[in-house]
Amino acid sequence: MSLEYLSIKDVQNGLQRRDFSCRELVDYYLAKINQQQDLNAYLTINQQVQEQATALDQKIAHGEIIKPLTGVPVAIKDIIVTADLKTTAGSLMLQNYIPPYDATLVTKIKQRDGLILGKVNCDEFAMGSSNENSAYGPVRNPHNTDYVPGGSSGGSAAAVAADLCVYSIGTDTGGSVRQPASFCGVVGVKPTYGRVSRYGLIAMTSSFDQAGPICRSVADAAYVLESIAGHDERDSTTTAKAVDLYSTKLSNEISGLRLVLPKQFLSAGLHPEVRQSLELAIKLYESMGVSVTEIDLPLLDKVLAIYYIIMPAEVSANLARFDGIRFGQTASAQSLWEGYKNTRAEGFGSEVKRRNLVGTYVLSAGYYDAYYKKALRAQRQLKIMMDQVWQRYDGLIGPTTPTSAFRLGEKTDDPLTMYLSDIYTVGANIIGVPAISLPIAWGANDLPIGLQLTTEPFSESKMFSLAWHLEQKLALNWQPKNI
Amino acid sequence: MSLDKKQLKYLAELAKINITPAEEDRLLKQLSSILAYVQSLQDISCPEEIDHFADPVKNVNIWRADQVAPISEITRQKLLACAGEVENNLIRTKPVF
Repeated sequence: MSLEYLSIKDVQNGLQRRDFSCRELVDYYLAKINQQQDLNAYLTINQQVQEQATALDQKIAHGEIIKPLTGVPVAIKDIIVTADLKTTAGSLMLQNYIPPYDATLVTKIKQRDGLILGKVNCDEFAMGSSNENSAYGPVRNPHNTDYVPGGSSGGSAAAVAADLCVYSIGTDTGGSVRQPASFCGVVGVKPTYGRVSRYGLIAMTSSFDQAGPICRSVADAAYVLESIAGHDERDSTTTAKAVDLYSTKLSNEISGLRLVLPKQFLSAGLHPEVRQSLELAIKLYESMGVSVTEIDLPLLDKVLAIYYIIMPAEVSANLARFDGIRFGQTASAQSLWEGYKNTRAEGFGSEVKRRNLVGTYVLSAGYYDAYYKKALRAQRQLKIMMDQVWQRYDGLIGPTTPTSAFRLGEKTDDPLTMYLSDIYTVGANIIGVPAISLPIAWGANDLPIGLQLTTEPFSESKMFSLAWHLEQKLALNWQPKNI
Repeated sequence: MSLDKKQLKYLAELAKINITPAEEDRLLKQLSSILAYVQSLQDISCPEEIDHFADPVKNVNIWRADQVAPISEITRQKLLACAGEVENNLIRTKPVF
Protein backbone atom coordinates (compact mmCIF):
# COMPACT_ATOMS: atom_id res chain seq x y z
CA MET A 1 0.00 0.00 0.00
CA SER A 2 1.14 3.54 -0.60
CA LEU A 3 2.85 5.23 2.31
CA GLU A 4 2.37 8.67 0.76
CA TYR A 5 0.84 11.47 2.80
CA LEU A 6 -0.42 9.26 5.62
CA SER A 7 -2.47 10.77 8.40
CA ILE A 8 -2.09 9.83 12.07
CA LYS A 9 -5.22 7.66 11.82
CA ASP A 10 -3.86 6.03 8.62
CA VAL A 11 -0.73 5.03 10.55
CA GLN A 12 -2.73 3.69 13.49
CA ASN A 13 -4.99 1.64 11.21
CA GLY A 14 -2.13 0.50 9.00
CA LEU A 15 -0.07 -0.71 11.93
CA GLN A 16 -3.06 -2.45 13.51
CA ARG A 17 -3.92 -4.25 10.27
CA ARG A 18 -0.24 -5.07 9.68
CA ASP A 19 -0.39 -3.28 6.28
CA PHE A 20 3.09 -2.00 7.04
CA SER A 21 5.58 -1.96 9.87
CA CYS A 22 7.09 0.97 11.79
CA ARG A 23 10.45 0.15 10.25
CA GLU A 24 9.02 0.36 6.71
CA LEU A 25 7.47 3.70 7.57
CA VAL A 26 10.69 5.10 8.95
CA ASP A 27 12.70 3.81 5.98
CA TYR A 28 10.20 5.44 3.63
CA TYR A 29 10.63 8.84 5.31
CA LEU A 30 14.41 8.59 5.58
CA ALA A 31 14.63 7.85 1.85
CA LYS A 32 12.37 10.78 1.02
CA ILE A 33 14.32 13.13 3.30
CA ASN A 34 17.44 12.09 1.46
CA GLN A 35 15.83 12.77 -1.93
CA GLN A 36 14.60 16.21 -0.89
CA GLN A 37 17.75 17.64 0.65
CA ASP A 38 17.38 20.73 -1.54
CA LEU A 39 14.51 21.82 0.71
CA ASN A 40 16.99 21.92 3.63
CA ALA A 41 14.20 21.09 6.05
CA TYR A 42 16.18 18.72 8.28
CA LEU A 43 19.26 19.65 10.31
CA THR A 44 19.86 16.40 12.17
CA ILE A 45 18.61 12.88 11.56
CA ASN A 46 18.08 10.61 14.58
CA GLN A 47 20.62 7.85 13.94
CA GLN A 48 18.73 5.53 16.32
CA VAL A 49 15.31 5.81 14.70
CA GLN A 50 15.54 2.67 12.56
CA GLU A 51 16.56 0.61 15.59
CA GLN A 52 13.76 2.23 17.61
CA ALA A 53 11.24 1.41 14.87
CA THR A 54 12.32 -2.24 14.77
CA ALA A 55 12.08 -2.49 18.58
CA LEU A 56 8.59 -0.98 18.44
CA ASP A 57 7.54 -3.47 15.75
CA GLN A 58 8.52 -6.23 18.18
CA LYS A 59 6.51 -4.64 21.00
CA ILE A 60 3.51 -4.40 18.67
CA ALA A 61 3.93 -8.05 17.61
CA HIS A 62 3.72 -8.92 21.31
CA GLY A 63 0.39 -7.16 21.68
CA GLU A 64 1.37 -3.56 22.43
CA ILE A 65 -1.68 -1.33 22.02
CA ILE A 66 -1.36 1.15 19.18
CA LYS A 67 -2.57 4.54 20.37
CA PRO A 68 -2.61 7.73 18.30
CA LEU A 69 1.04 8.81 17.88
CA THR A 70 2.37 5.25 18.41
CA GLY A 71 4.80 4.52 15.61
CA VAL A 72 4.07 7.84 13.94
CA PRO A 73 7.21 9.48 12.51
CA VAL A 74 7.58 13.08 13.72
CA ALA A 75 10.03 15.93 13.11
CA ILE A 76 10.85 18.23 16.03
CA LYS A 77 11.77 21.90 15.54
CA ASP A 78 15.38 22.43 16.55
CA ILE A 79 14.45 24.97 19.24
CA ILE A 80 13.11 22.07 21.36
CA VAL A 81 15.62 19.98 23.29
CA THR A 82 15.90 16.26 22.64
CA ALA A 83 18.14 14.18 24.87
CA ASP A 84 21.34 13.00 23.21
CA LEU A 85 20.22 14.42 19.86
CA LYS A 86 21.98 17.60 18.76
CA THR A 87 19.87 20.73 19.20
CA THR A 88 21.09 23.93 17.57
CA ALA A 89 18.16 26.36 17.73
CA GLY A 90 19.22 27.22 14.16
CA SER A 91 22.25 29.03 15.60
CA LEU A 92 26.02 28.74 15.43
CA MET A 93 25.96 29.36 19.17
CA LEU A 94 24.68 25.82 19.73
CA GLN A 95 26.32 24.11 16.77
CA ASN A 96 27.63 21.29 18.96
CA TYR A 97 25.06 21.27 21.75
CA ILE A 98 23.86 17.84 22.83
CA PRO A 99 21.09 18.31 25.40
CA PRO A 100 21.19 16.03 28.45
CA TYR A 101 17.42 16.07 28.74
CA ASP A 102 14.14 15.93 26.80
CA ALA A 103 11.53 18.64 26.64
CA THR A 104 8.33 17.56 28.41
CA LEU A 105 6.44 17.37 25.12
CA VAL A 106 9.18 15.11 23.73
CA THR A 107 8.86 12.87 26.80
CA LYS A 108 5.11 12.66 26.15
CA ILE A 109 5.68 11.72 22.51
CA LYS A 110 8.20 9.08 23.57
CA GLN A 111 5.77 7.73 26.21
CA ARG A 112 3.33 7.16 23.37
CA ASP A 113 6.08 5.44 21.35
CA GLY A 114 6.30 8.17 18.74
CA LEU A 115 9.29 7.89 16.40
CA ILE A 116 11.47 10.98 16.15
CA LEU A 117 12.96 11.17 12.66
CA GLY A 118 15.12 14.16 13.48
CA LYS A 119 15.37 17.90 14.12
CA VAL A 120 14.11 20.38 11.60
CA ASN A 121 15.48 23.74 10.55
CA CYS A 122 14.20 27.02 11.98
CA ASP A 123 15.06 30.69 12.14
CA GLU A 124 17.82 31.29 14.67
CA PHE A 125 16.44 31.16 18.22
CA ALA A 126 12.96 31.25 16.68
CA MET A 127 13.47 34.79 15.40
CA GLY A 128 12.18 35.28 11.91
CA SER A 129 9.28 34.89 9.52
CA SER A 130 10.94 33.17 6.58
CA ASN A 131 13.53 30.66 7.90
CA GLU A 132 16.19 32.84 6.21
CA ASN A 133 17.74 33.64 9.60
CA SER A 134 18.95 30.09 10.18
CA ALA A 135 22.72 29.73 10.49
CA TYR A 136 22.32 26.51 8.48
CA GLY A 137 20.80 27.97 5.34
CA PRO A 138 17.24 28.81 4.39
CA VAL A 139 14.47 26.27 3.91
CA ARG A 140 12.61 26.23 0.62
CA ASN A 141 8.84 26.16 0.17
CA PRO A 142 7.91 22.72 -1.26
CA HIS A 143 5.14 24.28 -3.37
CA ASN A 144 7.58 26.56 -5.18
CA THR A 145 11.22 26.36 -4.21
CA ASP A 146 11.99 29.99 -5.16
CA TYR A 147 9.81 31.01 -2.23
CA VAL A 148 10.17 30.93 1.54
CA PRO A 149 8.31 28.39 3.67
CA GLY A 150 7.70 31.02 6.34
CA GLY A 151 9.19 31.07 9.82
CA SER A 152 10.36 30.54 12.32
CA SER A 153 9.06 26.92 12.06
CA GLY A 154 9.90 26.81 8.35
CA GLY A 155 11.56 23.40 8.48
CA SER A 156 8.55 21.93 10.28
CA ALA A 157 6.00 23.27 7.80
CA ALA A 158 8.09 22.31 4.75
CA ALA A 159 8.67 18.79 6.09
CA VAL A 160 4.96 18.22 6.70
CA ALA A 161 3.95 19.65 3.30
CA ALA A 162 6.57 17.64 1.43
CA ASP A 163 5.72 14.37 3.23
CA LEU A 164 9.07 14.12 5.02
CA CYS A 165 7.24 13.18 8.25
CA VAL A 166 3.62 12.68 9.32
CA TYR A 167 3.58 15.72 11.60
CA SER A 168 5.92 18.18 13.28
CA ILE A 169 6.06 20.13 16.51
CA GLY A 170 6.89 23.81 16.05
CA THR A 171 6.81 26.77 18.39
CA ASP A 172 4.79 29.96 18.03
CA THR A 173 5.71 33.25 19.68
CA GLY A 174 4.32 35.76 17.17
CA GLY A 175 2.95 33.42 14.51
CA SER A 176 5.86 31.04 13.99
CA VAL A 177 3.63 27.97 13.66
CA ARG A 178 0.66 29.55 11.91
CA GLN A 179 2.46 31.68 9.32
CA PRO A 180 4.68 28.87 7.92
CA ALA A 181 1.66 26.54 8.03
CA SER A 182 -0.22 29.10 5.91
CA PHE A 183 2.71 29.52 3.46
CA CYS A 184 3.08 25.73 3.09
CA GLY A 185 -0.57 24.74 2.84
CA VAL A 186 -0.75 22.81 6.09
CA VAL A 187 -2.53 23.14 9.44
CA GLY A 188 -0.78 24.91 12.33
CA VAL A 189 -2.02 25.47 15.87
CA LYS A 190 -0.89 27.82 18.61
CA PRO A 191 -2.53 26.56 21.81
CA THR A 192 -3.68 28.81 24.67
CA TYR A 193 -0.69 30.07 26.65
CA GLY A 194 -0.18 27.54 29.44
CA ARG A 195 -1.79 24.64 27.57
CA VAL A 196 1.49 22.95 26.58
CA SER A 197 4.58 22.86 28.77
CA ARG A 198 7.47 25.10 27.76
CA TYR A 199 9.96 22.96 29.71
CA GLY A 200 12.63 22.13 27.16
CA LEU A 201 11.77 24.92 24.74
CA ILE A 202 14.85 27.10 24.34
CA ALA A 203 13.24 30.27 25.61
CA MET A 204 12.66 33.16 23.23
CA THR A 205 9.78 35.15 24.75
CA SER A 206 8.70 33.33 27.90
CA SER A 207 5.32 35.05 28.16
CA PHE A 208 4.36 34.31 24.52
CA ASP A 209 6.09 31.02 23.52
CA GLN A 210 3.88 27.98 22.94
CA ALA A 211 4.69 24.72 21.18
CA GLY A 212 2.07 23.51 18.72
CA PRO A 213 1.38 20.88 16.07
CA ILE A 214 1.94 21.36 12.35
CA CYS A 215 -0.04 18.70 10.49
CA ARG A 216 -1.71 17.83 7.23
CA SER A 217 -5.23 17.93 8.66
CA VAL A 218 -7.24 19.44 11.49
CA ALA A 219 -7.89 15.97 12.92
CA ASP A 220 -4.16 15.24 13.10
CA ALA A 221 -3.55 18.53 14.90
CA ALA A 222 -6.26 17.60 17.40
CA TYR A 223 -4.65 14.19 18.10
CA VAL A 224 -1.25 15.77 18.58
CA LEU A 225 -2.40 18.60 20.83
CA GLU A 226 -4.36 16.32 23.14
CA SER A 227 -1.20 14.21 23.52
CA ILE A 228 1.31 16.99 24.20
CA ALA A 229 -0.88 19.26 26.32
CA GLY A 230 -1.16 19.10 30.07
CA HIS A 231 -0.03 20.45 33.39
CA ASP A 232 3.69 20.17 34.08
CA GLU A 233 5.33 20.72 37.46
CA ARG A 234 8.44 21.84 35.64
CA ASP A 235 6.63 24.73 33.96
CA SER A 236 4.75 26.81 36.49
CA THR A 237 2.91 28.67 33.74
CA THR A 238 1.05 25.54 32.65
CA THR A 239 -2.60 25.31 33.54
CA ALA A 240 -4.12 22.71 35.86
CA LYS A 241 -7.19 22.56 33.61
CA ALA A 242 -7.81 19.07 32.22
CA VAL A 243 -6.99 18.44 28.55
CA ASP A 244 -10.13 18.08 26.46
CA LEU A 245 -10.28 15.20 23.97
CA TYR A 246 -10.32 17.50 20.94
CA SER A 247 -10.31 14.64 18.43
CA THR A 248 -13.68 13.38 19.70
CA LYS A 249 -15.39 16.75 19.31
CA LEU A 250 -14.40 17.73 15.77
CA SER A 251 -17.84 17.16 14.30
CA ASN A 252 -19.61 19.09 17.07
CA GLU A 253 -22.29 21.37 15.70
CA ILE A 254 -21.07 24.87 14.77
CA SER A 255 -24.34 26.32 13.49
CA GLY A 256 -25.31 29.28 15.65
CA LEU A 257 -21.72 30.25 16.44
CA ARG A 258 -20.85 33.91 15.88
CA LEU A 259 -17.55 35.03 14.40
CA VAL A 260 -16.22 38.56 13.94
CA LEU A 261 -13.94 39.98 11.28
CA PRO A 262 -12.00 42.97 12.61
CA LYS A 263 -11.94 45.85 10.11
CA GLN A 264 -8.28 46.21 10.99
CA PHE A 265 -7.58 42.89 9.21
CA LEU A 266 -8.71 44.44 5.92
CA SER A 267 -5.72 46.80 5.86
CA ALA A 268 -3.98 48.16 2.77
CA GLY A 269 -1.35 45.43 2.75
CA LEU A 270 -3.92 42.63 2.31
CA HIS A 271 -3.39 41.03 -1.09
CA PRO A 272 -6.54 40.80 -3.24
CA GLU A 273 -6.19 37.02 -3.69
CA VAL A 274 -6.03 36.58 0.10
CA ARG A 275 -9.03 38.86 0.53
CA GLN A 276 -10.97 36.83 -2.03
CA SER A 277 -10.20 33.56 -0.29
CA LEU A 278 -11.30 35.12 3.03
CA GLU A 279 -14.61 36.13 1.46
CA LEU A 280 -15.06 32.59 0.16
CA ALA A 281 -14.47 31.19 3.64
CA ILE A 282 -16.97 33.62 5.12
CA LYS A 283 -19.62 32.55 2.59
CA LEU A 284 -18.97 28.91 3.42
CA TYR A 285 -19.32 29.57 7.13
CA GLU A 286 -22.55 31.47 6.57
CA SER A 287 -23.88 28.51 4.59
CA MET A 288 -23.14 26.37 7.66
CA GLY A 289 -25.13 28.67 9.96
CA VAL A 290 -22.15 30.55 11.40
CA SER A 291 -22.59 34.30 11.37
CA VAL A 292 -19.71 36.63 10.52
CA THR A 293 -19.92 40.28 11.54
CA GLU A 294 -17.46 43.06 10.80
CA ILE A 295 -16.22 44.79 13.94
CA ASP A 296 -14.03 47.80 14.68
CA LEU A 297 -11.19 47.03 17.10
CA PRO A 298 -8.88 50.08 16.82
CA LEU A 299 -6.33 48.78 19.31
CA LEU A 300 -5.49 45.97 16.85
CA ASP A 301 -3.52 48.55 14.84
CA LYS A 302 -1.01 48.63 17.68
CA VAL A 303 -0.37 44.91 18.11
CA LEU A 304 2.91 44.86 16.19
CA ALA A 305 4.25 47.79 18.19
CA ILE A 306 3.30 46.07 21.45
CA TYR A 307 4.88 42.84 20.24
CA TYR A 308 8.11 44.43 19.04
CA ILE A 309 8.68 45.98 22.45
CA ILE A 310 7.74 43.11 24.78
CA MET A 311 9.31 40.35 22.67
CA PRO A 312 12.80 41.89 22.24
CA ALA A 313 12.80 42.83 25.93
CA GLU A 314 12.29 39.21 26.94
CA VAL A 315 14.70 38.00 24.25
CA SER A 316 17.44 40.22 25.67
CA ALA A 317 16.87 38.63 29.07
CA ASN A 318 16.54 35.04 27.85
CA LEU A 319 19.61 35.11 25.64
CA ALA A 320 21.82 36.53 28.39
CA ARG A 321 22.57 32.93 29.37
CA PHE A 322 24.67 32.38 26.23
CA ASP A 323 28.07 33.33 27.57
CA GLY A 324 30.19 30.42 26.40
CA ILE A 325 30.69 29.03 29.87
CA ARG A 326 28.16 26.31 30.70
CA PHE A 327 27.05 25.42 27.16
CA GLY A 328 27.35 26.64 23.60
CA GLN A 329 30.35 27.92 21.72
CA THR A 330 33.22 29.60 23.53
CA ALA A 331 35.22 32.30 21.76
CA SER A 332 38.83 32.96 22.60
CA ALA A 333 39.42 35.93 24.89
CA GLN A 334 41.79 37.41 27.44
CA SER A 335 39.20 38.35 30.00
CA LEU A 336 35.78 37.26 31.17
CA TRP A 337 34.03 40.29 29.68
CA GLU A 338 35.85 39.94 26.38
CA GLY A 339 34.83 36.30 26.39
CA TYR A 340 31.16 37.22 26.70
CA LYS A 341 31.32 39.85 23.97
CA ASN A 342 33.29 37.71 21.52
CA THR A 343 31.23 34.57 22.11
CA ARG A 344 28.00 36.45 21.56
CA ALA A 345 29.32 38.36 18.55
CA GLU A 346 30.45 35.14 16.89
CA GLY A 347 27.58 32.91 17.96
CA PHE A 348 24.60 35.16 17.22
CA GLY A 349 23.36 36.09 13.76
CA SER A 350 22.25 39.61 12.80
CA GLU A 351 18.55 39.28 13.59
CA VAL A 352 19.35 37.93 17.04
CA LYS A 353 21.75 40.83 17.65
CA ARG A 354 19.17 43.32 16.43
CA ARG A 355 16.43 42.06 18.73
CA ASN A 356 18.82 41.84 21.67
CA LEU A 357 19.76 45.50 21.19
CA VAL A 358 16.16 46.67 20.77
CA GLY A 359 15.24 44.80 23.94
CA THR A 360 18.18 46.27 25.82
CA TYR A 361 17.09 49.73 24.73
CA VAL A 362 13.45 49.42 25.78
CA LEU A 363 14.43 48.08 29.18
CA SER A 364 17.18 50.60 29.86
CA ALA A 365 16.94 53.42 32.36
CA GLY A 366 15.22 56.43 30.91
CA TYR A 367 13.35 54.43 28.28
CA TYR A 368 11.73 51.67 30.35
CA ASP A 369 8.59 53.68 31.19
CA ALA A 370 7.96 55.04 27.73
CA TYR A 371 8.47 51.72 25.97
CA TYR A 372 8.29 48.55 28.05
CA LYS A 373 5.89 49.72 30.74
CA LYS A 374 3.69 51.37 28.12
CA ALA A 375 3.64 48.18 26.06
CA LEU A 376 2.59 46.13 29.09
CA ARG A 377 -0.26 48.52 29.80
CA ALA A 378 -1.34 48.47 26.14
CA GLN A 379 -1.22 44.66 26.30
CA ARG A 380 -3.50 44.71 29.32
CA GLN A 381 -5.85 47.10 27.57
CA LEU A 382 -5.96 44.79 24.54
CA LYS A 383 -6.79 41.85 26.79
CA ILE A 384 -9.65 43.77 28.44
CA MET A 385 -11.01 44.74 25.02
CA MET A 386 -10.87 41.16 23.74
CA ASP A 387 -12.51 39.80 26.91
CA GLN A 388 -15.48 41.94 26.00
CA VAL A 389 -15.47 40.53 22.48
CA TRP A 390 -15.47 36.95 23.81
CA GLN A 391 -18.55 37.80 25.92
CA ARG A 392 -20.62 38.29 22.78
CA TYR A 393 -18.81 36.33 20.07
CA ASP A 394 -17.22 32.93 19.57
CA GLY A 395 -14.11 33.88 17.69
CA LEU A 396 -12.21 36.01 15.21
CA ILE A 397 -11.89 35.09 11.56
CA GLY A 398 -9.30 36.54 9.23
CA PRO A 399 -6.37 35.82 6.96
CA THR A 400 -3.30 34.26 8.57
CA THR A 401 -0.94 36.45 6.53
CA PRO A 402 -1.41 39.51 4.27
CA THR A 403 0.09 37.68 1.27
CA SER A 404 1.06 34.17 0.28
CA ALA A 405 4.75 33.21 0.56
CA PHE A 406 7.28 35.76 -0.70
CA ARG A 407 10.48 35.06 -2.62
CA LEU A 408 13.71 34.07 -0.93
CA GLY A 409 15.72 37.25 -0.40
CA GLU A 410 12.76 39.55 -1.02
CA LYS A 411 12.44 40.92 2.50
CA THR A 412 15.89 40.38 3.97
CA ASP A 413 17.10 43.98 3.46
CA ASP A 414 14.58 45.68 5.70
CA PRO A 415 13.71 43.98 9.00
CA LEU A 416 10.56 46.05 9.38
CA THR A 417 9.10 44.74 6.10
CA MET A 418 9.66 41.23 7.40
CA TYR A 419 7.99 42.03 10.73
CA LEU A 420 4.86 43.24 8.96
CA SER A 421 4.07 39.72 7.74
CA ASP A 422 3.16 38.85 11.34
CA ILE A 423 0.51 41.53 11.58
CA TYR A 424 -2.42 39.11 11.93
CA THR A 425 -0.76 36.50 14.07
CA VAL A 426 0.94 38.37 16.94
CA GLY A 427 -2.34 39.37 18.61
CA ALA A 428 -3.08 35.82 19.76
CA ASN A 429 0.33 35.56 21.46
CA ILE A 430 -0.02 38.93 23.15
CA ILE A 431 -3.28 37.97 24.84
CA GLY A 432 -2.49 34.26 25.22
CA VAL A 433 -5.42 32.82 23.24
CA PRO A 434 -5.51 29.81 20.90
CA ALA A 435 -5.42 30.20 17.12
CA ILE A 436 -5.31 27.89 14.13
CA SER A 437 -4.33 28.33 10.49
CA LEU A 438 -5.67 26.04 7.79
CA PRO A 439 -5.21 26.11 4.00
CA ILE A 440 -8.25 27.42 2.16
CA ALA A 441 -7.20 28.29 -1.37
CA TRP A 442 -4.45 28.28 -3.95
CA GLY A 443 -2.92 31.61 -4.94
CA ALA A 444 -0.59 32.62 -7.75
CA ASN A 445 2.65 30.68 -8.38
CA ASP A 446 1.18 27.46 -6.88
CA LEU A 447 1.35 28.99 -3.40
CA PRO A 448 -1.31 28.22 -0.79
CA ILE A 449 -3.34 30.73 1.21
CA GLY A 450 -4.35 30.21 4.83
CA LEU A 451 -7.26 31.24 7.03
CA GLN A 452 -6.88 31.96 10.72
CA LEU A 453 -9.41 31.39 13.49
CA THR A 454 -8.80 32.81 16.96
CA THR A 455 -10.97 31.90 19.95
CA GLU A 456 -11.04 32.60 23.68
CA PRO A 457 -8.66 30.97 26.22
CA PHE A 458 -8.89 27.17 26.53
CA SER A 459 -11.59 26.89 23.86
CA GLU A 460 -9.52 24.67 21.56
CA SER A 461 -12.40 22.22 21.11
CA LYS A 462 -14.56 24.94 19.60
CA MET A 463 -11.65 26.24 17.51
CA PHE A 464 -10.94 22.73 16.17
CA SER A 465 -14.56 22.01 15.25
CA LEU A 466 -14.88 25.37 13.46
CA ALA A 467 -11.75 24.53 11.47
CA TRP A 468 -12.73 20.91 10.84
CA HIS A 469 -16.14 21.77 9.38
CA LEU A 470 -14.58 24.27 6.96
CA GLU A 471 -11.88 21.80 6.01
CA GLN A 472 -14.50 19.15 5.27
CA LYS A 473 -16.61 21.58 3.24
CA LEU A 474 -13.64 22.76 1.17
CA ALA A 475 -12.24 19.25 0.60
CA LEU A 476 -9.13 20.93 -0.76
CA ASN A 477 -6.17 18.93 -2.06
CA TRP A 478 -3.34 21.05 -0.65
CA GLN A 479 -0.47 18.71 -1.66
CA PRO A 480 2.46 20.40 -3.45
CA LYS A 481 1.95 20.08 -7.19
CA ASN A 482 5.60 20.07 -8.12
CA ILE A 483 7.09 17.32 -6.00
CA MET B 1 13.54 58.00 17.18
CA SER B 2 17.09 58.16 15.92
CA LEU B 3 19.89 56.38 17.67
CA ASP B 4 23.41 57.77 17.62
CA LYS B 5 26.67 55.83 17.64
CA LYS B 6 27.33 56.56 21.30
CA GLN B 7 23.95 55.07 22.30
CA LEU B 8 24.53 52.05 20.07
CA LYS B 9 27.92 51.38 21.66
CA TYR B 10 26.33 51.71 25.10
CA LEU B 11 23.59 49.21 24.20
CA ALA B 12 26.19 46.79 22.83
CA GLU B 13 28.09 47.12 26.10
CA LEU B 14 24.95 46.39 28.16
CA ALA B 15 24.04 43.43 25.93
CA LYS B 16 27.65 42.19 25.96
CA ILE B 17 27.82 41.81 22.19
CA ASN B 18 30.80 43.09 20.20
CA ILE B 19 29.79 45.19 17.23
CA THR B 20 32.27 45.75 14.44
CA PRO B 21 32.54 49.19 12.81
CA ALA B 22 31.18 47.59 9.61
CA GLU B 23 28.03 46.49 11.46
CA GLU B 24 27.59 49.84 13.20
CA ASP B 25 26.12 51.87 10.36
CA ARG B 26 23.69 49.21 9.24
CA LEU B 27 22.55 48.49 12.79
CA LEU B 28 22.09 52.17 13.49
CA LYS B 29 19.77 52.51 10.51
CA GLN B 30 17.81 49.34 11.24
CA LEU B 31 17.40 49.95 14.95
CA SER B 32 16.31 53.54 14.34
CA SER B 33 13.63 52.38 11.94
CA ILE B 34 12.37 49.68 14.32
CA LEU B 35 12.28 52.09 17.26
CA ALA B 36 10.51 54.70 15.14
CA TYR B 37 7.82 52.11 14.35
CA VAL B 38 7.23 51.04 17.95
CA GLN B 39 7.13 54.70 18.97
CA SER B 40 3.59 54.68 17.58
CA LEU B 41 2.49 53.21 20.91
CA GLN B 42 2.88 56.71 22.31
CA ASP B 43 -0.23 57.70 20.32
CA ILE B 44 -2.54 55.67 22.49
CA SER B 45 -3.51 56.63 25.99
CA CYS B 46 -4.05 53.94 28.58
CA PRO B 47 -6.52 54.65 31.39
CA GLU B 48 -4.88 55.34 34.76
CA GLU B 49 -6.21 52.20 36.37
CA ILE B 50 -4.59 49.85 33.85
CA ASP B 51 -1.77 48.23 35.74
CA HIS B 52 1.32 47.08 33.87
CA PHE B 53 1.97 44.01 35.94
CA ALA B 54 -1.37 42.26 35.61
CA ASP B 55 -0.81 39.05 33.69
CA PRO B 56 -2.89 38.78 30.51
CA VAL B 57 -3.63 35.11 31.13
CA LYS B 58 -4.61 34.75 34.74
CA ASN B 59 -1.74 32.98 36.39
CA VAL B 60 -0.99 32.82 40.06
CA ASN B 61 2.40 32.33 41.62
CA ILE B 62 3.14 28.65 42.10
CA TRP B 63 5.21 27.78 45.14
CA ARG B 64 6.79 24.65 46.49
CA ALA B 65 9.27 23.85 49.23
CA ASP B 66 12.96 23.69 48.30
CA GLN B 67 14.09 20.19 47.43
CA VAL B 68 17.55 18.74 47.15
CA ALA B 69 17.60 16.94 43.82
CA PRO B 70 20.43 14.42 43.66
CA ILE B 71 22.07 14.14 40.27
CA SER B 72 23.28 10.94 38.63
CA GLU B 73 26.89 10.61 37.52
CA ILE B 74 25.77 10.12 33.90
CA THR B 75 23.83 13.37 33.96
CA ARG B 76 26.73 15.18 35.60
CA GLN B 77 29.07 14.00 32.83
CA LYS B 78 26.60 15.01 30.12
CA LEU B 79 26.27 18.48 31.66
CA LEU B 80 30.02 18.90 31.94
CA ALA B 81 30.38 17.77 28.34
CA CYS B 82 28.34 20.82 27.32
CA ALA B 83 30.63 23.25 29.12
CA GLY B 84 33.39 25.31 27.49
CA GLU B 85 36.28 24.39 29.74
CA VAL B 86 36.27 21.68 32.38
CA GLU B 87 38.91 20.91 35.01
CA ASN B 88 38.57 18.35 37.82
CA ASN B 89 34.86 17.97 37.15
CA LEU B 90 34.41 21.71 37.58
CA ILE B 91 33.57 24.30 34.95
CA ARG B 92 36.46 26.70 34.49
CA THR B 93 36.05 30.40 33.70
CA LYS B 94 38.32 33.42 33.39
CA PRO B 95 38.75 35.34 36.64
CA VAL B 96 35.86 37.60 37.50
CA PHE B 97 38.10 40.22 39.07
